[in-house]
Amino acid sequence: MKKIVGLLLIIVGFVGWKLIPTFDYRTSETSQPDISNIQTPAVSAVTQSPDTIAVMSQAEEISNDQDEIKREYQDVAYSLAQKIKQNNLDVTLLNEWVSKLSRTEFLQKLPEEVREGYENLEKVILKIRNNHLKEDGMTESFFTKYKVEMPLWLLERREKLNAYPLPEDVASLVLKKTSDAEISNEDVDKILRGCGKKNNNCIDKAFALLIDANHALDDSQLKRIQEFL
Amino acid sequence: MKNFVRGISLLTICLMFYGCKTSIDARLTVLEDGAFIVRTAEDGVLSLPKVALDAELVVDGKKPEKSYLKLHMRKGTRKYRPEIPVRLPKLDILLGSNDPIRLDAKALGQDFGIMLMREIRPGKDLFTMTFHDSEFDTTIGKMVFEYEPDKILFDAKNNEFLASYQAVKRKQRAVVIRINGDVDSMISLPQKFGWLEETLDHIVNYGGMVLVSPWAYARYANVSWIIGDGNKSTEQTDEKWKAVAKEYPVIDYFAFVHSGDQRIYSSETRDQMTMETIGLKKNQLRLVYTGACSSGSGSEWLKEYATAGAGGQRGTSASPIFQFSVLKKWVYGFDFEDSVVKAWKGAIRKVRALEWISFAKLWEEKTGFMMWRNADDLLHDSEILISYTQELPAANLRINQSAVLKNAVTDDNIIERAVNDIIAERNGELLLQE
Repeated sequence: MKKIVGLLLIIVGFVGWKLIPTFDYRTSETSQPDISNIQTPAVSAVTQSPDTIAVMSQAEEISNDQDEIKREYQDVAYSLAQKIKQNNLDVTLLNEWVSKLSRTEFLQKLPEEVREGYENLEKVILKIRNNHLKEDGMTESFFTKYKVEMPLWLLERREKLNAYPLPEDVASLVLKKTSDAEISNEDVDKILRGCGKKNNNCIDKAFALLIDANHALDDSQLKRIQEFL
Repeated sequence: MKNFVRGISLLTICLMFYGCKTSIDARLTVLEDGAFIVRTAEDGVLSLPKVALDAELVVDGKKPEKSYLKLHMRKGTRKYRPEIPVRLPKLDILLGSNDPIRLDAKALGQDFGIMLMREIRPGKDLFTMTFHDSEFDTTIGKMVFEYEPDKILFDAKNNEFLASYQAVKRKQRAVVIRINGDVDSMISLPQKFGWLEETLDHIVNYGGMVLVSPWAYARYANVSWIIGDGNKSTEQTDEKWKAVAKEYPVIDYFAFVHSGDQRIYSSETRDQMTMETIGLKKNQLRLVYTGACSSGSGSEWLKEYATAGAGGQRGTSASPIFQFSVLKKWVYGFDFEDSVVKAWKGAIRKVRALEWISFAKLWEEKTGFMMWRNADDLLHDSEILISYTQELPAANLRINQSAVLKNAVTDDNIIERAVNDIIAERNGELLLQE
């Protein structure tokens, strides 16, 4: 029993000793450390916050984090530069490839060790990117938020339709009508006749283009289209 | 087929929505006692007194001829809401026209005629509807309201917007991004090894592209990159510019480059490319921002390329501290003025937080000499300058809206401003000439 009491006293003493300085920091204004000279932008933006201790540790964390990322970036960059040089890759050509090829196509053109170098560089830049997002109060969801303007299935369907060439007379009518104020029943009939019965790709594409150009079809026009499908 | 049926269902839902009545709040002012006589839906006749009252313009989506004006009046202590039937054109024709619309008394089914004027503005447009006697000799009333029409004034044939502040979809926007230098201070590299200089430059440019990419692709359907010394390759400049000019009605240009490199030179002829040689239509190139040293306010872009706005740097600029922020803010949806103000305020915070020492040191390691004496010196030389016209102020330029100038740009109508002046004005400070 005495042993248990003794052990409890040691624990209480240890916890109390740990708690006292924390309590002091939070209550005494004079004990707040000066953080006006901390070197990161994110830090300077929050120096006005009264919760100084939390900011201080967060600031140090960000500053250390940024320094570490910068060091890592420099190491990876210098290593990649040496690999490019060792493999005798022409920098002007690399710039051209980067400008006109997709990322995958570009990386495929490179020797394996150089490719790895670029991939390592991208990994570090991903960390820099995340810091930027954090600094702006944004999350990764921002990058996809604006991209989807229509449901995926409709996007896929549109892509398929893009590859489908419209008959010449239909194409010229659709092009003419996209800038018109209104689409008449005769226009609908002309498109349907031009496409022909059950030519769903043609009908779908022609009316998709018109809808894209802010045209709306009325009930009777929709009914007429359905008869042709 | 299944997909098409789904598409048709979606369309039907849209049409159902389209078919609903649209009610627009308005304020009607009757200009003369007893002159404004209307027929109500209950076949009564109402003579309106000289007064200002709330009203509603209700346009029927399916049968626009069944549209009406609802007046907010009182009969004794009770509410009285008489409906005044008016045969109106379809909503998108009525409120989507860029030109004034005249509706005669006979067409309206009333004893008065209507003129409708639209003022296109950012967000909602302002409409002024004036009421006249049947001969259009006198004006008897005036009604104002705001509305954001769905119909976009876009000429699909010429691939261009006909008016400002029209919604520009992502698929209609392209951006040309030229990188030859440190986009961001985090990816700068001290030139420790002379023999690697060109290769390190390439890596910094590649890193810049990787860093900027997600922001650019989030809001632009096409991102054309010109990386490194773009003037060395025709494919990098001429072809890229011509390709985007052919396909996209709205193009922005960001150049994170060294002094002078922001200009567009043909790799083929070595001459500066003009609107004609690129194939740019008027106002197709909407906004240009460059972090290039001594690029000034960029007013030459307004004069030579008919852009609506431009921005650059006062002198030897520490652009890597803030230039990427300008692009980020613009992409987040801030107007152009806000974008540069916010980026600049961020830069001041960074520089004051002693980043200038590490940046100046890095610059020294790169170039061999210290460029700025102190933080104030750095901030003065690096200040962002912008230019725009009174017609389309920088505060009205946004990524998702068209910007079409009606008037020709001349030295007289260009406004050039330094970002510190804008901030001072916003703070209510009086600016004195030094």
